Amino acid sequence: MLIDPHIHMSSRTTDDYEAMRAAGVVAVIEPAFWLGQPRTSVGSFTDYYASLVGWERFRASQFGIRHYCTIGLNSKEANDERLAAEVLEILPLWLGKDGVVAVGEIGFDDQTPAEERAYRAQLELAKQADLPVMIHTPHRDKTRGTSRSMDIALEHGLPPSRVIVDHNSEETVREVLDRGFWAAFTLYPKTKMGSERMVEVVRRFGAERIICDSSADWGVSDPLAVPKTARLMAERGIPSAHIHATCYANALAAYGQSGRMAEEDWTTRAPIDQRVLFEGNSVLRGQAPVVE
Amino acid sequence: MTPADCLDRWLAASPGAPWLADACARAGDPTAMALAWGAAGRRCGRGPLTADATDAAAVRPGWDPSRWTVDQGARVRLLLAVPTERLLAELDRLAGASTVEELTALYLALPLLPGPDRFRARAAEGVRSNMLPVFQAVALDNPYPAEQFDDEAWSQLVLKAFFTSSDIDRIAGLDRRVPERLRRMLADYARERAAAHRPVDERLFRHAPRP
Repeated sequence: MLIDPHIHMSSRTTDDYEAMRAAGVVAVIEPAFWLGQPRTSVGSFTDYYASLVGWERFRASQFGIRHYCTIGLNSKEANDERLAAEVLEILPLWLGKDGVVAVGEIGFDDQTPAEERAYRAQLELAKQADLPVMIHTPHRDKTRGTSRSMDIALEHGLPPSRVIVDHNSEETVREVLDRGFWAAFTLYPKTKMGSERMVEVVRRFGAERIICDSSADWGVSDPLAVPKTARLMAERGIPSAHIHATCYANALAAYGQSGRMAEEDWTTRAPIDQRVLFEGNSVLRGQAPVVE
Repeated sequence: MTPADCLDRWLAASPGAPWLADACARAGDPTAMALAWGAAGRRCGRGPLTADATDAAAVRPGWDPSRWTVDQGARVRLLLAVPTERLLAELDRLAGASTVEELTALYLALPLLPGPDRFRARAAEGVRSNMLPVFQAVALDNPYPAEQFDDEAWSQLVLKAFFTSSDIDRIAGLDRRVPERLRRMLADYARERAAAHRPVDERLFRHAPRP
């Protein structure tokens, strides 16, 4: 069994769901993020959050995959300050819902004061909602941005054990682990952190608090990155306990702290029944429904 | 005794009872209320609510919580804790960010909330829902529509109940209120069904002539 704890399924196809299921993925976490272009009104966020806890969760269930999400205002759009204030106000309406396992992905992009304000406000919301936090670390000036994200989380009194720092690199992982945070790695094909490099990270740092994810979205990315990396780890002689930890158990332990994600959710899931509708809508387009 | 007292008594056995009491104390705070609204099912459970129908009817004539679940009772209790002057805006805010389960509870609360004439538009929105549990939360076992709806809205509700094969016997007040408009709509509907060689719920003819 595998978990992909960071994947933007709303941007993916039903073929991806089928391939992921066949490759052993039992659960996914879809963090709220930006859509490739900035939104212009708070209603767009409302509808997006509604789809993360509604239609997308249903869609995943129709392919035998348990879907969770994180809710938050991403760092890029935090820079539209008027809109950001409105979005922060509606977040509590979504943070309480079933299947929301963290506040995220939040943190820094350009590391502006507006990003910092939104980040701090959401750390406070995470405490109030009793949820873990998923931190997006910046692509530029990453090492400094990562340290700063952790400093601020600690300043707000969040225990590092409830904070998952994502998009790590070989440069950042040591500090993240030494300070007691979870260190997640995004496996982008051909860039940043590919499967080959991930194998070496696990060989060097072990498996404790290390998490693999695909962050697959509408860009060049691979929804099978976690299964492929797990296979490569096995071929390269990484102990199976380490593969289990980094591609399944650590994500479950980290996000399970929400109290809204447990192994029984997929080991005792209801059989797939594609005859079921979500508010009157089906995933089928005239095909014969799959019924387990 | 008030509806809130009844719910507190029926929910006292729930493992979420202390949580609910705390959430009710903070229901005037929009952030706390929003978080509690989403969490009520997880915190209090989703099994059947053990309600006392006699007490319910004594406290609020027509109130029938016999089919309610614990999460529905808990969410209605939360709404009863919202300050009266904020209630209409709060219902709109929550309805815009609610799952089917949450919306159902919101509509079940309507007959218990103070200033009931404020919620007519909200109730009519529930009748328009394509989510059957939401429609039925307004239409069935709920005294609100018969008391508050005008003839047009009331007639739409009853016709939609036939149309969705809902249990007509559970529409509170239908035996006392069949305006001419509704009688005509039901008769037309029966004729349409007959023309399409489709069966008609026999109970329709208690309220409209046979074609």
